[in-house]
Amino acid sequence: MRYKLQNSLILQSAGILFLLCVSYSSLAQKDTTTHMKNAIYFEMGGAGGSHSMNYERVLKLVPLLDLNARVGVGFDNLVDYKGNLNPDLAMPVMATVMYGKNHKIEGGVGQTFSNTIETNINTGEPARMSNFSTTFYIGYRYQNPAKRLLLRAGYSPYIEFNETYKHWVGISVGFIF
Amino acid sequence: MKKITFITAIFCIFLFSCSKDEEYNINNLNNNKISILGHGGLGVGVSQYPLDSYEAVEKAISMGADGSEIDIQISKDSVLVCFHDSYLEEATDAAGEIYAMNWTDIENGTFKDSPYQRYKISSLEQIFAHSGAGDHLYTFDIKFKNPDQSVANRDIFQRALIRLIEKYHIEQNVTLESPDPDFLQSLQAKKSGLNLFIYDDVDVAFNTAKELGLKGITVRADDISAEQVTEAHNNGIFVAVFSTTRRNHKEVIQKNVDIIQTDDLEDLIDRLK
Repeated sequence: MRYKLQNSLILQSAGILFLLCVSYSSLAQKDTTTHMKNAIYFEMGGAGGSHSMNYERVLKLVPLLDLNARVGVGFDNLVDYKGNLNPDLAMPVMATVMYGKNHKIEGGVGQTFSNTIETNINTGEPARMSNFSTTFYIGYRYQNPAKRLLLRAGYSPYIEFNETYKHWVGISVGFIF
Repeated sequence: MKKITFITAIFCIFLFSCSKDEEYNINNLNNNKISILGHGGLGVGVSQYPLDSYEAVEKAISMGADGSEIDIQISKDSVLVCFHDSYLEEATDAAGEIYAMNWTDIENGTFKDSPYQRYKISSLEQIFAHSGAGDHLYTFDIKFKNPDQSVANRDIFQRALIRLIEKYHIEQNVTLESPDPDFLQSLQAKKSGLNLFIYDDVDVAFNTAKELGLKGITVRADDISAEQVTEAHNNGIFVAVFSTTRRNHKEVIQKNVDIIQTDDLEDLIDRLK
């Protein structure tokens, strides 16, 4: 009997979760009360499309009010319809403002650059198309400096190709450091 | 301790993702193998590409399917269009019925549901012009939706099919299926040697196939028993089935059918290849 692994999406998601958990558990052992200026998180949905990894730099403005600059990268459809490695890419860039201590409300605006596969109708071959979409976010954010945990959930609509308004949501998990 | 717990959890995810290959002993009219066709490309339901699109058909083949089933309608100007629904607005941003529209009014329609908005409706000519037939197999599910079912309109549809089949030399690669015995009978009279399948309830399809000398029957997978498949084979009639997923793949394979039009390509290819 032969045993085979199935469904690379399970592998992909499990791998990302594993890395996040291992990184989180190792960092959680440090003890500090300093302001956490950086965040890394994995987002399902949101400005990165179906899913993305993101880095944020936090700037404390006044007590309880922070300004974030975020950049991320998302992959989707790793293999095209010809069976070749040819992923759809999304790179969200966003500025948000957060208010609160550990429980925060967060809102922001940004742009997502996408480079995706479409079909060349003359040849039938995959061709790359680049576009920009304007993104918005309003939601809840929990971050605890003692535990380094970061959780986000919110309404994340976008104007696709800066033409069509679309409803969307995003849920994130990550850590601050 | 936390690290050990997480590592154990990830290991369990990997372990339960593994599948054991079944061994099947297939005995049918198709050289004792089952042809795997994607149902409308990648199957009905949520998939990477829209039903009956060029991309879905190509993807099915790149995944290892033997080919694809494709729904075929005919436009007002005799273009064979790959589309399942009666009304374009059911799935696209175009509106109308294909039989009443020219191809130029149809070809720019894009699918409206996410994530399909990048993809356009395909003509059958586009599929074969870009990909060719190769050694792949196709089933054309003939959807003659014109309310005017006159002989003249039927002939136009049939001649368009025959022209395309002859242009790409795919007489042996293609199966044509229809629920209309008259359509199949007159198609048979126009060009001999075509692989014609009737689809209907099992008993009706079987009797029609016998009476008209058709190559096979197409039925819903759960509606036919292993004994009925054997009886069809004993009469030289091939059996194609649709509406299959991993829920019933094992049972369907064990019925020894000849062709499976599956909605779950990945599972069926894992089982049979």
